[in-house]
Amino acid sequence: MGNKAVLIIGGGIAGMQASLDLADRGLTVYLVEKSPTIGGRMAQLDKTFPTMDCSICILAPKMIECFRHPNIKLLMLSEVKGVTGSAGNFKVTVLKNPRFVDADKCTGCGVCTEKCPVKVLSEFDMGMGSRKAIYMPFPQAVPRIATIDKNHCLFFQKGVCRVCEKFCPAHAINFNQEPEETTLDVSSIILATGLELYDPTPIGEYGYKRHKNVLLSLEFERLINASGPTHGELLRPSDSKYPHRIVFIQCVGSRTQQEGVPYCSSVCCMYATKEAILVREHNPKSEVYILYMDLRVFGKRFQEFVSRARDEWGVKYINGRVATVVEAPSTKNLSVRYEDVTDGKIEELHTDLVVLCPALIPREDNGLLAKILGLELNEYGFFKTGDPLLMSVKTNVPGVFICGYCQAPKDISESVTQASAAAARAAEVFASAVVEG
Amino acid sequence: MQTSKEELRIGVFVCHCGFNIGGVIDVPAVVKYAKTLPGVVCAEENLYACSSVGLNLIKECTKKHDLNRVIVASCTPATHEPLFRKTCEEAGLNKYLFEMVNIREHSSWVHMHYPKEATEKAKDLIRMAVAKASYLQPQIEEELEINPSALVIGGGIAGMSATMSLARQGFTVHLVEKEVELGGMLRQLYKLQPTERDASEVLREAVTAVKVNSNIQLHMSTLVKEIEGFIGDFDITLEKNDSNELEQINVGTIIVATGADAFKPVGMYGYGENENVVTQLELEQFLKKGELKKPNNVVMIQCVGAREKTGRTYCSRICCIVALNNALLLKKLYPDVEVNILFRDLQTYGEHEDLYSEARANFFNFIRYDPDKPPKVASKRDGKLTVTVYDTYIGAEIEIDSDLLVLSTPLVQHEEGRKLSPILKVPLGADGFFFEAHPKLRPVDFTSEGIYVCGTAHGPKDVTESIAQAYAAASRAGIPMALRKIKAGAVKASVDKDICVNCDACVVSCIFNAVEAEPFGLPNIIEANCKGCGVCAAECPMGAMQLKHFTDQQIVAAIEALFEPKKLAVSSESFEPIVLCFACQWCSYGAADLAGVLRIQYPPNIRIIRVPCSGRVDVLHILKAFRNGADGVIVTGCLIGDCHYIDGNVKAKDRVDVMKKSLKALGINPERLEIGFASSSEGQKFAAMMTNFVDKIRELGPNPSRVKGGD
Repeated sequence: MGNKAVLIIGGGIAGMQASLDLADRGLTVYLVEKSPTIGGRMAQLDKTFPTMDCSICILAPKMIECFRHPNIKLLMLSEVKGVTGSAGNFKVTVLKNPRFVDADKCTGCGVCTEKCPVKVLSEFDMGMGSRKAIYMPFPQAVPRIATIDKNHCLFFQKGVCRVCEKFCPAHAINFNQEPEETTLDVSSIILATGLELYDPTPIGEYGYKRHKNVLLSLEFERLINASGPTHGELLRPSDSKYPHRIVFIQCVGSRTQQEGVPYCSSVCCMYATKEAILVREHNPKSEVYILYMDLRVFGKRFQEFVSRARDEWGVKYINGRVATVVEAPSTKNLSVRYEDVTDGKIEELHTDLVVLCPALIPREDNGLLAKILGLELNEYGFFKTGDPLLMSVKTNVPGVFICGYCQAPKDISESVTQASAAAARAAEVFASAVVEG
Repeated sequence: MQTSKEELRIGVFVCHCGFNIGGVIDVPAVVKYAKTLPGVVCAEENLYACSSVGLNLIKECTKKHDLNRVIVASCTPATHEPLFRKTCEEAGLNKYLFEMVNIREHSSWVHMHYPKEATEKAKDLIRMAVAKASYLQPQIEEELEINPSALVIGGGIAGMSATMSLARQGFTVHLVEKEVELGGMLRQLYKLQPTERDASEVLREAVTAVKVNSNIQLHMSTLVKEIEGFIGDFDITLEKNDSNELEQINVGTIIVATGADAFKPVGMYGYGENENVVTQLELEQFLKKGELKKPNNVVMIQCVGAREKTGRTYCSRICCIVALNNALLLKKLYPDVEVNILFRDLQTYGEHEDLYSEARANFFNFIRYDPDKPPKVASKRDGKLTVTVYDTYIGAEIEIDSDLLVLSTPLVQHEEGRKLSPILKVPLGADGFFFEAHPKLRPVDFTSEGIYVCGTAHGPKDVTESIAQAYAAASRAGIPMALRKIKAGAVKASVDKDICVNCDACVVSCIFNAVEAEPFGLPNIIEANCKGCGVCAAECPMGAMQLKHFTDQQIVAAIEALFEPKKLAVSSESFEPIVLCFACQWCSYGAADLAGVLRIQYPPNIRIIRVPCSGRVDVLHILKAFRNGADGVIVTGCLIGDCHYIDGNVKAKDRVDVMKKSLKALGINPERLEIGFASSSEGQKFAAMMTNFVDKIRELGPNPSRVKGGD
């Protein structure tokens, strides 16, 4: 009998889909996730294009399914430290970092979070809102267990406080938890480490971090989300007022030979369209512009989505390349100077808020994982496929597969597709082991 | 087995959902009220009913109070019902004895400024659920055996890849191809991006692998003629192209990989009139066969017959990449050839952008054209062409002399795909391609279980993407086949043979052939075919046909519970309309949920009853509502054409139209009854529909029976 277990690294939508496909067919899945919750980037999104589904609403049931599935073992706050063996017989060392909360006792009631005196900028809200030093990243987090952030906890930093311990009705706080190392035997490994956002600070002309009212798209996504820092009110950072005019700028740090990356991030035209519709939905009197290089509408129902945004929602698309974003010191309003690509003229747009759509890049720690697993990265830092034409989910190591954005730029639907494809490959490895005895 | 005569022990759990519900609705008051309802033996509140604490409370109470019905009033069942049902099962309760009340999306989020009304609404909804729950019955989900063999339709690269994966997973696969050779469109292609591998080499390897695998049975020159059955047990009739010979096979799952055609732009830009005007696919074949006469100046026009205002509105995804690939091959062959690419937006997504950089490094002329001023093409006497295009950048028309004009045309649905759609009973989208269950999270599934899609039959995509999707389909199809059995939902039709008069209205109404007419006998329900829409139950004139878990008795109980006599009495000054809304679980209920998620406010006069399909709403339900005092009834379903049961919403519309006439006869203004349609993405529309309807009812005044009853 072959080894029934598969290791999946990354608990975003790709990792979750691969886990569910394999677990549903009766294989055992170890899902390793670095952060305190599964859900990944998709959990941060307000809506998804082109159907405008509420992202967390369609994601949460899958997260809960992963949590409750008898064949899925979630390894949270965990990292893969070492791998030996080969397809059919990998031995994986996983380091599980302490939560300082007993997962079996914590009921997720939230009392600790309420009482904790330390406020920390929330990573989930892109630093736009705050959380506590003991926290759950977002209301639908799975598993619903609090986590102590050691770097900000008063007890760990100064030896005082212990308020959470005092108030926890379940007596779940355990400051003495140690990192744990476990060894897993698996037949195959699927990587789904996802993406990061390119930080456009080095491209000075966009004014990111210099101008208060210049946001990244994911910051915007949190801002407009009902469970976000402003409870869904679209308020600009400088004065918490409703912006009347908003400009989205595409290809920030992507499709460039200079600062940034040369490839196209694949999803920005569409999510900007979605975000533009959301602006108009929230405030029908607002004006929304999207400055783009080429409108990339290559997916199913994408062109129709853009047409609707343009014709029904009044979103204004301008084929333009941005030169600079200048801030008026008194009002903190912005003016966007750009070249109209259609006629070469320099134009200017005065606006209250600028949203940058930055390049999406592979995670920095892919390098470390590649080293542990003997994989190669391509020139951009994505995991290299064994055969980029025929086998996009295979790597140079038999039995190790990749899916989602860590392989190449793609949207949710393609990530889900590829995740299922990787699951099929892992199922093949298991089946061949059964046949060979 | 529990019966309705057994003592009812209902538990009600009301969720605060943090501030989401508790911030608007007075939860303690609702709990207190719930305790007074008939059959309720325990009512509790939770900060989060879905947290481990909340779930444990449900389990503990179920055991402690020996509950035989559980009701959770919290958020939408669309996301959380499976969780609570599972919890009930863990507490030893059949999951069909659970009922969910949506007081978040349908109350606290949409009546944020009306806490009193939102609280009253929550009480009403819970009262309705308690009434329905009294009639809930435990159900047994049948286990279906799954034949661990698959049918793959289409022997192109997608079909062959899916076949190979399933075969390697250990399943028997029948691969059906209509042509004499495998390969599909791959046979026409030349060099494949990325890597510039030769398509014929790729094809040879794939075909060899398929032919030598003992798990694969090839059916060449064969078409799928008929499909009967359901997941696990599909009976397939295959027909040989040449001999019309028939063959029967049985499979557990089906993968559709019928591919696509390239659109032929006859009559556009001189195509079909001048031999120097060709499509990209034709150019690729000239290159492949080495039959291309050396051109000096090539013009390529993108989006020919694609991204149109009407008709083929879609972008065909791969044409820009194919054009650049072909142009670069040309350039390699003839380095001095000049290349002009007339485009709208270049679609070199992802790492394909490298191709664009390479093209620019090769000094291709990229000219952006305006779709409102498309290029014009004139043929000269020698067959050469003059292409005139308005160059937006210089703001003037330019002329290009060309001896080869290549048109990039979109992929379109194959004729075979169109024929297959009704045979499989799976839908095509507005673009003509197969329509998946959910564009984000179920990209290769159909809503019909056991049938999957991959490759260009689903929409334009390149070889790499087609293969990835094929493997995805193989994973999805592999799940039930690996399990060998699955549980079918228990929401199915059933017939009370004592009441049935054998009129066959149900047989006629069922589009899924789940109700068979028995000659001189009672209708026979084929549970496996039944999708649980309830159309037959609504059409049955005798009430003999019922839908389990959505019986007339249960629905009517909920309706009657809404209209508490003491609240009904109205004077014209204090009139607050009571409006009943039936919402289908797929679209309009989702739209109501979305209105909640978006916090779109509408009047708190609406009470929603969830039904599987608007087609389930019976004349009886509407009449009951009016007779009991409803001021208005609005039936809502999916957009016409989008019904998850094909045409349940059309039947609902017909029924409402007929009803309007009879209402008049009963002295009820037909304006009090309405039907509306909204997709699950139309929260705004749903809220507007409700607002307008309540406004209208307000103007019409109270249901006459309410005024009389009040005196």
